[in-house]
Amino acid sequence: MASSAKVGKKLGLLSDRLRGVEEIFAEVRGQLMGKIGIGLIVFFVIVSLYSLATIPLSFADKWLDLTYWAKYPSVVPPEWVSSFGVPVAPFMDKFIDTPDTVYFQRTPVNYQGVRLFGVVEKFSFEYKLRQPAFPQGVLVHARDIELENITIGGRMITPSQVSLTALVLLHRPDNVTLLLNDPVVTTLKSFASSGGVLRFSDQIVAQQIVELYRRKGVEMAQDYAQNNAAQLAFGVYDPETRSVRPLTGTYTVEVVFTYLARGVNPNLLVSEINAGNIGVQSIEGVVKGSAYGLMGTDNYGRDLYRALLFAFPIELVIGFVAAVASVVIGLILGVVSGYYGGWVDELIQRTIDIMGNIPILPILVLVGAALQEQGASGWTMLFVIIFLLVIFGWGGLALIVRSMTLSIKSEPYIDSAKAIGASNARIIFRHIMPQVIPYAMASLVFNVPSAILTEAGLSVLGIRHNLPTWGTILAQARDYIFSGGRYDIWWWILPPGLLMGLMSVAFVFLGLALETVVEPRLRRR
Amino acid sequence: MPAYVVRAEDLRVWFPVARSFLEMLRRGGRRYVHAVDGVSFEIYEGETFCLVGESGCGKTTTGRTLVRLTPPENVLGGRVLFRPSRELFEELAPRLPKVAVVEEEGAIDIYAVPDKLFKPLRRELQIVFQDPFGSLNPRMKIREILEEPLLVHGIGETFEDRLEYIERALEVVKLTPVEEYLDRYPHQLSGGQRQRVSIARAIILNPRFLVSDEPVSMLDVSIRAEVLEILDELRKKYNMAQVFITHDLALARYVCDRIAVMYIGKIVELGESDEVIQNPLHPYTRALVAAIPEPDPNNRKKLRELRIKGEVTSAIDIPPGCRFRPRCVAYDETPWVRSRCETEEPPLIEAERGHYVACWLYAKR
Ligand SMILES: Nc1ncnc2c1ncn2[C@@H]1O[C@H](COP(=O)(O)OP(=O)(O)O)[C@@H](O)[C@H]1O
Ligand code: SF4
Ligand SMILES: [Mg+2]
Repeated sequence: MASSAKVGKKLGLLSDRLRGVEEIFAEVRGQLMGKIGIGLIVFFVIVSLYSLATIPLSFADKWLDLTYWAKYPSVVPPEWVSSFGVPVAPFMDKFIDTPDTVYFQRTPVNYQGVRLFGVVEKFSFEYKLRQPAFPQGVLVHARDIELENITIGGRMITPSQVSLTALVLLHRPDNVTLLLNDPVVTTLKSFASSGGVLRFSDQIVAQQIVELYRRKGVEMAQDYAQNNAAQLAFGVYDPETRSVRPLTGTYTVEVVFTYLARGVNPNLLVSEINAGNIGVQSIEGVVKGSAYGLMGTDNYGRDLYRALLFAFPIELVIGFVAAVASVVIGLILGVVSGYYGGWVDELIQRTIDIMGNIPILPILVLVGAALQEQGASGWTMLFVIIFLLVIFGWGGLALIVRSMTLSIKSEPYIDSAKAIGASNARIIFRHIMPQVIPYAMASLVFNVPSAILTEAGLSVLGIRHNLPTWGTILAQARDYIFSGGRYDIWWWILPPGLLMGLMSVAFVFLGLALETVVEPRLRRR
Repeated sequence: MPAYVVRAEDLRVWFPVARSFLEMLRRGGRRYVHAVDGVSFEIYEGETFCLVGESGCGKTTTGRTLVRLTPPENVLGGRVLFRPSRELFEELAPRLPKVAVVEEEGAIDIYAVPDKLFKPLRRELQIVFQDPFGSLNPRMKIREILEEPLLVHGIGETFEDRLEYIERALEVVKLTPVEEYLDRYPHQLSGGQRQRVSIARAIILNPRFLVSDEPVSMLDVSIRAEVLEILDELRKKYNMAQVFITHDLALARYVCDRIAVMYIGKIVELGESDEVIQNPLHPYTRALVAAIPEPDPNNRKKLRELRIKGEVTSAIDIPPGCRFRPRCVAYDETPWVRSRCETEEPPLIEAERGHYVACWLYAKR
């Protein structure tokens, strides 16, 4: 009985150590601002974990690889705008793993002015345009190109001996057919090594369009056609209003490869292609819609949704590492400065004075420029930036902690502790720290968004680590606008802006709630 | 003569006055507050020794210096000898530098002990501060406050052991039932209860010497007696040597065995408390005694002559001769003493048996 009471007391002593933190947390949760702040931070943390689990860190490299993004429409809003009545041409990305037909065309045929004969291989896919909007174009990517050396009739044929012509034809709902690419004749080998991409050619399309309308008696300037080629390919020109309106309906994209190999029985080549030994075995057909994904794209067609999501944990790391490091340094140096006084205090105070008078921004800009010059990697630059934020960030807290320490130090109970023989370490950790730490916590919470915002500000000033962070995304939107781009790119500007704002609000709310709990007198600094 | 526990020898504690930039340019010598300016006394086992005087005369500084709370750099002269218990002396003496040990007296010169080695002596040298509100950490429970000295000195191996000490200390200061106080915070206690917690903390290590710096001056009159009684019981029970600091001569008479009256850093009169109060010798003591409120209402009506003039003078610029001279009525009234008052500082001399005074009126001509 008696011993259980003592065990209870012992447990009580243990829980005393945690009492402060627990009480503070409970009180913060009791406040509306605290609730909102904690809720938002939980949201940010969960999304960050989701991001880390779903997007590999190598996304940072992919972000810079512009060829990867070539197939995506550039500067388009998210797909969901269609639910708000904005007509959308859907984005289509289709993998076709078998050709429709492979056959030998003995007599030359004319495909949109291109005469072809030889072994013909056709792929095709349909694209339904239901809403009156323009896709940005069509792109075909030969995915699987077999390059084996084949032996036909005792002769060995290498892929560089096989000539190849590739056409992308667009059959429109109004029975007009357009050739979309520049049908360069090349070899199978060099087609494969050039990446196997068939691009939409404004010039080729424009020529056919001009010709088409001339036959109907409508004159159209070549450069007008060229500037609006994608729209004219998927639309109808109205000479009255001099504008193009989208042509809805079902389009068929036909991809025609023609193989020729000197002195080879074409029928044998057909069977080699069918056997999967040589030639294009599968294609990826892309119609760049007028909208993309959850968050739209930037001017390189990069998916903003993935970039914004990828940035979540990076932002938290920037904020937390910078804030925690500068608060820990500020706390320790502030207490040491205030408690020990003398030359240590003098040294720390003068250091803070000097750091406080060195303008951090020019230094960041300089260091950033130097690093960019050196070709430092994005991660290196990011950590140098965080390091500088810490170096220049601890002083303010150190000053406040110092003055708090000075006032606590003169409390009679510190004398009492000295009188019973408590060491300096004990006085610092048992009597001073518990009072200073809650304040440092509040200051930490305020430091998180300020580090994030400073980092974003640097991006705007041109200090780019080129990792996809909200700051960089926003800065690139600004660059795009300033270099003559559109202004109505709300999907590019608002999400990173709002996320930064929301993250700041989360931490500022939590900080304010903490501060009122921790030290009502310090509420207004 | 009984053996002393603490002995102050010509103790001088000066605090440098912060100088303005101009003063530094003028390159005058540093100026000091002469908080304690050459005091000597001995305190014996089982006695309560009072330091009495107006505010600012150096009582607190003297008390703090006796338990080595004054930074050594401010102790500009004299020394404080402390005679710890035999065990502690034997444990410590071999480890201390030679200058710190007065072997033949079993005493230690506390300001000659390096900081790092001083901690064990704190077990036997304790102090209770004036302010019962400020001297307890508001964020610690009573249990934690009382546990701290035990933890610092490694007393009690388990929490249960320490709890026993804590409970015993609370019983000594009559905060019972102890369970009711263990988990409270200082702000949940009254001033008197807090001061008793302070006393419990000071005595939990079983000290030989205890300084109480105006322990009841901030308490309601109604609860002062309890606190004083606890201190007196401690003295009797443990044969503790105590210094009791007060600005109230009437209280000193009630509490103390001997009284030392201080004026601007000096002891001007020292003796048995009844003797000092019934037969004050120094003009300053006389004025203080005359100011004691008369308990008898008939006498209270009598207008009493305040035999003092002016205000306390500065402890920075001490006048030559007797430092009490600017306020001394006797100086005005006794022409033959004037020349000495003006030029020489009066030494503390034994005017009557065991009754010392520092005034030229009593010097043998
Ligand atoms: N730490 C200190 N630094 C500077 N001056 C001090 C310090 N402590 C006390 N003094 C000065 O020493 C004198 C005596 O103070 P004190 O010992 O507190 O007197 P008392 O307790 O008798 O009121 C006062 O003038 C006071 O201002
Ligand atoms: S020495 Fe002179 S001035 Fe000083 S107290 Fe005595 S009579 Fe007064
Ligand atoms: Mg005092």
